Amino acid sequence: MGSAILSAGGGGLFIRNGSLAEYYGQSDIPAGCFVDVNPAGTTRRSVAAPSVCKLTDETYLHMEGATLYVRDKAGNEISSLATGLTFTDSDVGSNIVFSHVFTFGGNRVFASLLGYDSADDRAYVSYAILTHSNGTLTLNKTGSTYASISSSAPVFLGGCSIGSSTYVLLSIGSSASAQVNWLVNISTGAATTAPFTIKGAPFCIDEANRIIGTSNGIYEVTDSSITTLLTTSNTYYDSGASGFVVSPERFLTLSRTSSLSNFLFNDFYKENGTWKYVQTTVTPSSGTYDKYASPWISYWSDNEIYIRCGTLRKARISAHTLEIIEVANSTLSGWNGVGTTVVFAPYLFVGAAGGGAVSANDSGDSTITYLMEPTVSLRAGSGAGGRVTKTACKPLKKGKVYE
Amino acid sequence: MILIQTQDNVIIRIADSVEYDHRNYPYIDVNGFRECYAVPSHVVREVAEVPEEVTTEKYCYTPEDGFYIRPGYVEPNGYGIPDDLVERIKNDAITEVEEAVTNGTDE
Repeated sequence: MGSAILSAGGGGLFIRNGSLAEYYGQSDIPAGCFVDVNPAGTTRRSVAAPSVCKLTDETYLHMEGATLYVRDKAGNEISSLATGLTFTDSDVGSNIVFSHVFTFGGNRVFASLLGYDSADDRAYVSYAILTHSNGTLTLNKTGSTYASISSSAPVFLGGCSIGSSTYVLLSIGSSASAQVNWLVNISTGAATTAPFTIKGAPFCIDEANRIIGTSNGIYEVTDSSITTLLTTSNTYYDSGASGFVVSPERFLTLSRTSSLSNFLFNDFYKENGTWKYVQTTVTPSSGTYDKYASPWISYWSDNEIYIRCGTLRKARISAHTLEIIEVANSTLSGWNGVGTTVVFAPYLFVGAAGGGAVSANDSGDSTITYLMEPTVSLRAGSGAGGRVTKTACKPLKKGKVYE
Repeated sequence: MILIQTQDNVIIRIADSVEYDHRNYPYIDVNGFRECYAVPSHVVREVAEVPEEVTTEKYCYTPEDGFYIRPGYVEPNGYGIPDDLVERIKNDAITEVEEAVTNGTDE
């Protein structure tokens, strides 16, 4: 097995020559290492789940906590910017649960943090609007908003630009199938509650930012109307979901369901001018943790995809139906939320919640630890809360490394 | 009352009335903002009355069967966490109380 072949940011999953290695950490990761998710002495909630998005044909963005990194195709850092995002409500404290970043309007970036204050049961969002040029980020505006959510577990569903890029749509979910949609004015930085509800994790399908896809449906948005083009049979939208736009006429989603016993894969496609979808139910292989994990989905090539629904899986799409080819043999604790991916073959970068007990105040119960060997046969990697048993890789900048 | 439903009869919107736009899509005016629903992927039905317990996403409706809970619907537990974790927390709490009672009795 080869040694240190990868160097990239936290919250990553990397595919190289058909091999998979997921970890949370930085620096070189010798294949075969197991990495503890949590920095020592902290709770998972003090470390916002990272987010990634493609920036240019050569670079991607990686947001971890309140810091943004521009990285190249191999994950090397080009530049970074501390946004200074924080929460005006001090009670939010370390309850930062997600970061989320996406690009829009050609050279704009929207980066946000989600926090939760159990004292007043509110979800707080702090966000920054930036521009990027030649690998450098410039901070333009910051803002914040909040909503009462009646939940102990707010999750980022995501966001995207809509319409003429005057506004950015930002969504969070909470329990009882509730969802909050905000519109953030790009010019002023002010957030207002959207006059509509888009259910599920939103992302743009078309270049004009009019067609918004989610795991729950397809919407066409103008400044004065929203048309629900399609509603799926999945109506659970307060939890994790991830999407991947294959083309303006096709996108894929993976989301949790209310039963938490399975995930739903949707292949949305346009045929003869009409949007259709085929849904496949994906059942976690085993273990309670499977149900918690933040799902993500990434299109690799020729209908071959990688997904995470509890465990990591390699899958193929045939006639719009998902067929699992391989399942990682691992136990993965995770958190529901949006999982974002960027593909720069042979690398696949993932920003997704991982690790952490679902109970808000639990600490040290976390794991993202599995990997595949170059043969693509899976090697078990599991552990929780620093109780990973194998050791011996180099120390990382974060967390503990075990062989 | 007007119900807007998916093709598999799940109610996704309840309104007093609807209008139709130039595409013949039904829409609801919400403070000047139009909520439209494409057809045929959505179905509009008019009913005399909607029972109080009927909510969107949870209930279905057909003229033949009336209102009924959506097959396979799972009520969220309200904590935003999986049911099995709720059970685990409950059991832990019960165990703690039982231990406290036992210890108290021993004293």
